[in-house]
Amino acid sequence: MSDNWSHIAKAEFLAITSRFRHRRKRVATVLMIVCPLWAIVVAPWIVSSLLILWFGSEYTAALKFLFPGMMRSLVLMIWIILFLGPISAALQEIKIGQWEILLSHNVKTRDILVGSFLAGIPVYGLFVIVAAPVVLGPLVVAYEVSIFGQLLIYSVIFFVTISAVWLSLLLGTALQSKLGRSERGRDIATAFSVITGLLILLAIYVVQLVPAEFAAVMQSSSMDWLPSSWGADLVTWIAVMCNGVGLSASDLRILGSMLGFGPSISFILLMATFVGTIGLALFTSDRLFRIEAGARTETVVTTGRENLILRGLRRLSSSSFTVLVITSLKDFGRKAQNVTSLGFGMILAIVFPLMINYSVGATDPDRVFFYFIISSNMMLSIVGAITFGGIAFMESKNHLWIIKSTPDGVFKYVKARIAQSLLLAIPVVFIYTIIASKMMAFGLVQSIGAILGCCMAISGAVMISTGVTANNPNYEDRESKIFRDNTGAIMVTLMVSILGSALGLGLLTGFENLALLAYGPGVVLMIVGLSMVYVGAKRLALPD
Amino acid sequence: MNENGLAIQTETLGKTFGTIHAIRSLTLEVPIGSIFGLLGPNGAGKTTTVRILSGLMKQSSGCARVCGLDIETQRDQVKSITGLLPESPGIYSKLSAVEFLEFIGALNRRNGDSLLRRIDSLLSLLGLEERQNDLLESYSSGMKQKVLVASTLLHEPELVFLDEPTSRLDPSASSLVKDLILVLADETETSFFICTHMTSFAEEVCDVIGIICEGKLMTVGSPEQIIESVDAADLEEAYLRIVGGRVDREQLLAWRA
Repeated sequence: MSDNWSHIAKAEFLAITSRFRHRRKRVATVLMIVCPLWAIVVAPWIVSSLLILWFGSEYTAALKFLFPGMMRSLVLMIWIILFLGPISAALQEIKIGQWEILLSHNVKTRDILVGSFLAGIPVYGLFVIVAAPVVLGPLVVAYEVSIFGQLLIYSVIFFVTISAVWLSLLLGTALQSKLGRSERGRDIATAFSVITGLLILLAIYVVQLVPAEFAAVMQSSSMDWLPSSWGADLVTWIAVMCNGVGLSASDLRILGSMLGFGPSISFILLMATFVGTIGLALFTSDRLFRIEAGARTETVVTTGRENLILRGLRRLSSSSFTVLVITSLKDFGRKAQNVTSLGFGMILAIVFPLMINYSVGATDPDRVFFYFIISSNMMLSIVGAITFGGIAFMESKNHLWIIKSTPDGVFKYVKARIAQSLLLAIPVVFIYTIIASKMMAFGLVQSIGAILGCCMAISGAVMISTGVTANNPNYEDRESKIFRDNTGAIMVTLMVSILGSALGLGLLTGFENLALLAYGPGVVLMIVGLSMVYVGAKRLALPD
Repeated sequence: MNENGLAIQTETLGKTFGTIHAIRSLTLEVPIGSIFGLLGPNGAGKTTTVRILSGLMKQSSGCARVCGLDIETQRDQVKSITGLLPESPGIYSKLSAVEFLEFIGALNRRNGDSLLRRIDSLLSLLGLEERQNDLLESYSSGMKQKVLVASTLLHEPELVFLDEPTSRLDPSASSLVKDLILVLADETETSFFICTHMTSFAEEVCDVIGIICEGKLMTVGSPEQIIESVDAADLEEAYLRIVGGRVDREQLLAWRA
């Protein structure tokens, strides 16, 4: 193996840390002083203070037998995010141009794999040292783990992290090498990235909404064989062995029976998996998969006759606005990521209200309906925003120039985009509401009410996301700062509109009028959406 | 139609981006029906000039009229009688050429059979009829450029802004675009404002050429006048003398030392 991997690692590292390019050494020095202090002193103190504030000083006894299951849930969560996150990011933006430069210098796939992995290690290390003390703080505080024990725990978490990242990188690179060869493949890759992103979201929801049930499942013996369980059990073992609370022999016996394998076996299994995946990656790269320039346009897709719906629209109206809506529908529908996020989002939207209802445990039909509408509003608005706002808005700055160079082009374009989004979203909301109403055993009036409430929510969300994106256009790049800023702004606006209006109306009416509380947020979303889309389009149309 | 016979008239037009002066006091007149070429090195201010004149960008100082319309107060009217070919292709990858041109037509308030007939004619003229229903993602950059040329001419603009129109085209496609510009200017009085750094293209096509460097218009005149004024053999030599940038042979290999 040549040393090209080291050059790639260096270049990737410089790219990752480009924000601090003028003060890398200073930042590194500060981090080396601040991070250990944070992990060993500050974070445990904050966590301990908060736990005492919330649960009183007697929490230790209550928590100590809950930890084995909880730890498995937590480490599994970390593992899922670190495993799926990089795959999602890698598939979102396949670096064709960069590959061609590398390949022209006789670089092998394994060089790219190893180089990218090594470049990310400092960043993941930082992630562990900042996040792990907060997440594992309750365990450390409850068992009064010694400093040596804490160092061992954070080392295990770091090890779990880099194992997950390595596996993720291996799978991501293999998928990229297969899918990056054609436009169609890249389209499928982006759709995969959406699915993996939403899977992370689903996992977070499950852990948040039904933590006790999830912890119980994680505690079962079938979960002993998950790599994340070995890491979690090892962390618990270290906490137990380095504890400062003086656990009794019976305590240790009970804890031991709750954990899958002993510390040595857990450690060996963890190590063997990591070494095994490294071996697997080095063996398979350049053999089973290889990053190569490829033909790029293997498949030429030719458009056929328009479908029944589009022909129907043309018959209804032959205006230029209809043509713009039809063009928008075609553009949207031909991108696999859009269709995937819409379909998958709908699945999430069905799961979420059911879980909310289960976790809240309401029996009064009016309350059940209220919780359903509010949770549907939240979920559907997120689905609507992710699917129809953000990157689905415009492909490039040059695309914007073309639209702006036509008279009143921006307003026509924005109106057509909203009409297209609503034409796709409303039928899906109907299907979703009918299924959910059936599952929740709503009557006819409630079902119609649910459709109305959900339609208002998704319409408002579509307009809010279109307005935010028009105000600060992003061009098909989920990695950009603009995309992150827009996503943040959209989510904050949605949640403030829904929860703020529900809370405001509740305070005004003494939380008695549930119908008002259920429909109020939808109306507010529509009003906010209309205002934002007007402002966004107006600003987008301004000359630079 | 504009009464003073000018397609473009600018007066001390200026544009700054922070501390950078993209255009400095640009005063220019382009007669109707002429083909004007704005020549200049990368970053000279050519694209900024086109964006201001086509109503996409606001000037920082000065004023300009396009076909008699004020670019500041009559922006939408300016857009409806001009066509713009941007520097880089900004097209929908998931639409076919016909669908994309139908979209552009709709943005210019055109639709129906007459639009479709025009799209067919333009695509066949540009040699894309066989691929017209393929998604644009599978087109080469030259083919995309041809689609954009078609989109620029689709609504029969009085003035066409072309920003590096032939930079991605092969020689035969370049020649086709060149002929299309000449015929349109001759037969329909369409005016052209072309930004390019290809001196041979400008020399062959343009009636009047302006050379811009670091945002400042250095000279304006017919290609022959410009060549004569600096006593050069051709426009490329004249351009290099005006703009600078010729490097001697020794310097060219100095990096190997």
